[in-house]
Amino acid sequence: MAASSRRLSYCLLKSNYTALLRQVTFQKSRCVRSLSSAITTETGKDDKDPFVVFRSQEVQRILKKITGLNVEKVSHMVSSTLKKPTYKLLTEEETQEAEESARKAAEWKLQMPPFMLPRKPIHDILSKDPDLEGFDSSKYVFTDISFGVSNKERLIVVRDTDGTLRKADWDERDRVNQVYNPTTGQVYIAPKMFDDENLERVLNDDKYIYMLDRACVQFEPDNPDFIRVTHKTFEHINKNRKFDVLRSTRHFGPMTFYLTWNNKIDLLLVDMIHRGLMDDCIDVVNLYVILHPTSKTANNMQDKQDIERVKTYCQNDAENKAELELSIQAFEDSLRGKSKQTA
Amino acid sequence: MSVNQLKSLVLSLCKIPLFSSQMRLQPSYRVSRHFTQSVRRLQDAEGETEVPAEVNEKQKRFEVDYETSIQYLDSKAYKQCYGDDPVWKLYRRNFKGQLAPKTRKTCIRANKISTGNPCPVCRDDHLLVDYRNVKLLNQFISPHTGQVLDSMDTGVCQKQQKKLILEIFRARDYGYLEDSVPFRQYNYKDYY
Repeated sequence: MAASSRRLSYCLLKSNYTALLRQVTFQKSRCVRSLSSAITTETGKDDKDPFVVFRSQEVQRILKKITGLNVEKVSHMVSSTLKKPTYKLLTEEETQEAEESARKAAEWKLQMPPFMLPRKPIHDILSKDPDLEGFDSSKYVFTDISFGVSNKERLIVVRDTDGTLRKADWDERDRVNQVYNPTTGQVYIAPKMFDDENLERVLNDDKYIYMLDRACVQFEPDNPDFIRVTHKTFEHINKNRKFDVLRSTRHFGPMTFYLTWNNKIDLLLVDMIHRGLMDDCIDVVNLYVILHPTSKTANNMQDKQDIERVKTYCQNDAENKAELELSIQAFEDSLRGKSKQTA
Repeated sequence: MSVNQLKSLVLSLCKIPLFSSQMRLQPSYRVSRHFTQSVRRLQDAEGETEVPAEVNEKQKRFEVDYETSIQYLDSKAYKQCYGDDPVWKLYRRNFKGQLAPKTRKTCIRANKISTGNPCPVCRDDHLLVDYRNVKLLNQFISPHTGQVLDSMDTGVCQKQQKKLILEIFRARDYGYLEDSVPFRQYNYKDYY
């Protein structure tokens, strides 16, 4: 108890309130538990948390594979300061090592933002003290800023002007966390480009990567605003068939996951077939089977191999059946033509 | 229907090419001398019968809205005047000695140009620094670093420089201009 109260430091502290605050430390373990349960609870609709599926090994492997890795595209960034280029004379081995390290750095940059459900609102009242009503004209926020506590676990409570002591809601948490533990690039008031009237315009200019990158920096992945912005962007990409823009970026995986989760992979499959990426196409269908184990496709999938799997999906669950069928046909024809030429 | 929409409608109905036959909308006359003369020569060759405006006379500045300014940056008159260069490319400052002092506070006082060599933004009254006027703002951003160019490089007066910095910030806020975004690394364990 003594140790934990020492760990708790407050942004504003009045000697009168120390006794009242002490009870917060008692409840710390409980509120941390309730916080973590709020994050990972299941959805009401189909009793599935997409993040549990998203972070599973097989899904991560598929998503990473279809993202691909183009080192030049990943490492292309506008730097903030000008540096002189360095020239080095390297042997063959050293060159390979340098290439390898560049590839690793690029892979690190492809870490996918978590695909999550919107977080549940916090309405936790710790105590009501009508005696304190009107103690000040503004609220007091008390924050645990001890070293090593992550933003998620940090204890933040608010004393309202009517004397209620409650846990800070998500909006307050985000702002206070940004004060004590700032994320570079995040701003206090969200940029206007995320407003609905500006969002559409920015997307129409094809600034998909910029929109998604900036949303990652500005919002937590379970923030309803993050989910709104990213899902709208994915929808826009799907509508305009601009999938290739996101290829070899960290957002290709979440986009594919979103489309698969919502049964909208037809256009993506067609695009992949047109680009000759049949392996990716099969992987997406495999992902569909993992995410929808009770669908017709999953039931009819036994001992089907390669292109047959895509065909099975096309027959059972495709919405744009005609278009998908046509492109599979064209792909097979071109394969046959190639084999004839070689023969 | 707004005034701007009405104006564009009338212009399209009359089939008058914007910025070529209207004296008031002719910005090139107020650009510094060599621009003015080259544009005038070009227009004489085309055989337009217009009385050139008196350059020396201190006129009230014509105030444009951002839509007109955006149209101007796409127009033929702009192309004739500046070519493909940024508007500050051919501007030269007048100063004594080797080292240039910092640029003047403002070129426009009481809505009139108060100097003989106004800065590249002030000299052309059809250039409006606005967050939606992306083509103009891009000319004042370094393509290598993404930072706003210094007024010592561009020669823009202090008033316009402050406005440029503000409007570029606003353009990035609204998503008209792209900015470099830092990489955000996720610790997946935070979200379990």
